[in-house]
Amino acid sequence: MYGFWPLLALAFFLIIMVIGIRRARLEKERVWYLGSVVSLLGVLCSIFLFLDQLMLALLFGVLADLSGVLVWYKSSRVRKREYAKMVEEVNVSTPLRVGDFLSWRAWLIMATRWGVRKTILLYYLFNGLLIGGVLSIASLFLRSLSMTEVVIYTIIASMLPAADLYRRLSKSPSLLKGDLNEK
Amino acid sequence: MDVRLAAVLFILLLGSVAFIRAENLSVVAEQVSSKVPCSSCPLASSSTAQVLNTTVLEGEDKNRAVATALSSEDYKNVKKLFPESVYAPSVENATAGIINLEANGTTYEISAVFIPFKAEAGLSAGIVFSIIQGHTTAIGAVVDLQCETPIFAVMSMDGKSMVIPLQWSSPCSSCGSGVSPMDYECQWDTDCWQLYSPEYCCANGQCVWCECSSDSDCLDGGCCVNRQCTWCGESPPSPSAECDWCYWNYNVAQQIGCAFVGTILIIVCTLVCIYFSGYCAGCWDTALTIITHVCAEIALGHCAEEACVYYCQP
Repeated sequence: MYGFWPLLALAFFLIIMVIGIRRARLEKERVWYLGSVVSLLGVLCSIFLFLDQLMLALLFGVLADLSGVLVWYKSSRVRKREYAKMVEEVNVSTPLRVGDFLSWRAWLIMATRWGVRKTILLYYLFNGLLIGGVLSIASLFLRSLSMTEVVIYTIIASMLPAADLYRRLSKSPSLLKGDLNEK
Repeated sequence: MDVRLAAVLFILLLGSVAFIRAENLSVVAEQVSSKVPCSSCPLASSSTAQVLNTTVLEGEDKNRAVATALSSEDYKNVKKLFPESVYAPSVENATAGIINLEANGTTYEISAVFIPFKAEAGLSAGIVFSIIQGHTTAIGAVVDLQCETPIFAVMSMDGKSMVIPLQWSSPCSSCGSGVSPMDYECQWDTDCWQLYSPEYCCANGQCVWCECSSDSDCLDGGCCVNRQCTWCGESPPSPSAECDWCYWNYNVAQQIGCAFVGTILIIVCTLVCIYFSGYCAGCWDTALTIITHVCAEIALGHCAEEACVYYCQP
């Protein structure tokens, strides 16, 4: 009924589940296992959706949503600690790796090197690419989403993540050697 | 080339000369769109024009003229009004020529290309492309060979297209075949286009709203019978069951779809927030936009009341 979309979701949830288990083992942090439970529920939701078992799919979907909110709340302490650690470790000589783009790390490193304004602009453009890409694909299937709307939404929606990064950077003055500290 | 089609196209071509003489296309277009009764009668009069001589083009000259016609906006405008499934241009049988004619004391040189179309049995169709005093014109017509009357004609001049009203209903009976199509049953889809619009087609001798041409155009479980979607199967369910089935497909199923898209995106973004916090805000923005539009499709798109009118009629 829903074509190949449940299989795409299934692949995504499986990958995230593996990432969660690996992270929990490496960091010895139980909260990441809970994150994998959310992924597992997402996997079950996708499988039942693919099999047209709508009620079961909806049940596991709602369970995944609820447990996701719980894990997000439970993990806030760990995430704050991780962010503080990132800020401490980052300096101009920190090498930039592809893996750093999976978290704030890459953007914090860039902010120390190139200054806040350039980093915010790059982060805005990067989010624009991601959001614009996903919305463009969605517009192929949604008649009510025109390309003009995709462009407008992308321009506006990319502002929120950029504002979020700006808020974080402005709260970490020790990190910055760029334009924010100069003020 | 069928003589009757050639005659109709030639008459229409002469009419286009009159359009150019008027040099006020907007006024003519307005008259055409208002569908004044008998507005086709003056077009059908060739008494004011006289052909002085004609030259048939051959070889390179002909190829060049045909290529110009095929690449013109006017030809494309007219061609797209001929349903591809029924009419196909027969470019290899195209002819080209120069016509010199006199109309109302003025001499005109017309460069004309005729492209015949393969049509349904009993019909003849084609497009004439012409260049008259720098104006390009394409005129397409479908002629009923039995009644010897044009049943559909369309024209595009200088890139602007218009449907030429060919009304053979009672006020115009004197300038057509004298028989109104309203008085006899339809034989081909084109009969219905002239009476209504290209969305209508001929089924069982009557013009009906064309819902489908094959089963795939109908909902799951629906069959295309007489160009209408209906329930397949040996024992059709009661009308209320058909209606419920349609509502389920178009309304409830889409709402469930909306709920699932929402659910999946919420899980995805929650996981992005947990593991890839750098992209949390962007994920929520994208998810909310998509969810809003998926749900808007239900409200704005195939609303069940509209889509299920056939299945839910008393």
